[in-house]
Amino acid sequence: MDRDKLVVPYPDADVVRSEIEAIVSRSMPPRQTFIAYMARMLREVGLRHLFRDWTELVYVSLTTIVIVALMLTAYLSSTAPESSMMYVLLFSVSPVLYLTIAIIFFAGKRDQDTYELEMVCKYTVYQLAALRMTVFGAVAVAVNTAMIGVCVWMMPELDVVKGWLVTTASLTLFGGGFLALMRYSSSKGMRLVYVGGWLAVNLTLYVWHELFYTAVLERMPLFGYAIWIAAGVYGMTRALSALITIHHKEGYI
Amino acid sequence: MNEEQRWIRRIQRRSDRAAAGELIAAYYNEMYGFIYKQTLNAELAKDLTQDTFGSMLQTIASYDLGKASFRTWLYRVATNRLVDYYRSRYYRAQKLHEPIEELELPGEEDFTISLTYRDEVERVLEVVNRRAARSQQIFRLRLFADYPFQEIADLLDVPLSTVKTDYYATLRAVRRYFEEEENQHGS
Repeated sequence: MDRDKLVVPYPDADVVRSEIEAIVSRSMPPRQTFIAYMARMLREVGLRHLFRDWTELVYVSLTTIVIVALMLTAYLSSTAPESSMMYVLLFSVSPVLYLTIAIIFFAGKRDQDTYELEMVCKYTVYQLAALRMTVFGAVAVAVNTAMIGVCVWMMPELDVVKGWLVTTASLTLFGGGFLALMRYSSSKGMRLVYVGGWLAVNLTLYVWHELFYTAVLERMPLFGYAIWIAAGVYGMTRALSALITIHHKEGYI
Repeated sequence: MNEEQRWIRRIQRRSDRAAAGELIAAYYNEMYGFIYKQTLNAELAKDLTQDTFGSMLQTIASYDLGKASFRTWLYRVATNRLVDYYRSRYYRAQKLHEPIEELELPGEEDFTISLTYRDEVERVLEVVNRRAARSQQIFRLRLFADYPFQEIADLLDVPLSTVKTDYYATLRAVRRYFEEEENQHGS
């Protein structure tokens, strides 16, 4: 009996090339920038669905107001000139609203039954969290800017540019640290400790060496703040991008 | 760091499409041959080769250069694709347990399979494609990629003795199938 020998019919070079092109274009869509990715997600998900639980937000806002009021009481008892004290206050409390919301969101999310469901949807809970944090970052900057406006109106000797730089630098430093922490620890306690720690460290520094602390914030050149903010924004973007790709690792076969 | 490792780094860090193209080109024929021998169908082999490299690109972020060689890792991805394909085609309410006599310890096995003739490979695949996923992975890597038992054990993270037992069990099943066919033709 004649038997067919097993011969592998390798495709020719042109076919291989077109196959490779097809594989690459299908499996590796052109890389989007972080901003473009966030914009697309925002368009597809919609702000309304991004923040569903308004009661939660109201609760968080109230909590924040209480914290800020407490901090204010502590600082007001200080003897430093009002404008120096204001920079310290701005630095300490600017990121609180943003991060408190982020913490509450994450703490609650893990406990809800929808967590598993969201994990298999088009966007994961981590990607949505990254988007929420970006939106909140933008909102926090806007709120801080408004806050500076109010402060300058009440206290004309305050430098608008410096005030804005102080709040933004503080926000990026705090946000970058928080996101880095989130990558390595999922415990709710750690996050609360981080926020509490931030406030406590700032307050302690201030109480411990008021003049040094205010001098650092007040005398740092604007250029120094600009570098600080650029580094902070870069760190936050890296951390958020890492959050976006988390699901690829978890989906490993 | 060799060129292959540089390509992998570039894909992992920057989603570099050119590096992805180079890496696939380096392995395309090898993977195609490995898959073709197990499908005996050029179009299907092309599709499964595409799937294999597609999965590779999507999961390469988690590939650790220090753990397994890229080639070995790629064979594992390809074997998974083949098993998935045949499981979706063949999976029925079939026996999930092997008969007890198949679980003998590996001994002298004088029955060998040559991959020289197409019809013989076809008959081998008839048996292999219906076996449990793990058995298929072991058998495919051993027979079609010529991997040593120890490497298969490391790759699939199962004890060496299990790999051998499982391989020889599949081999016995193939032999039985061949014998049954011969008996049918003889009678």
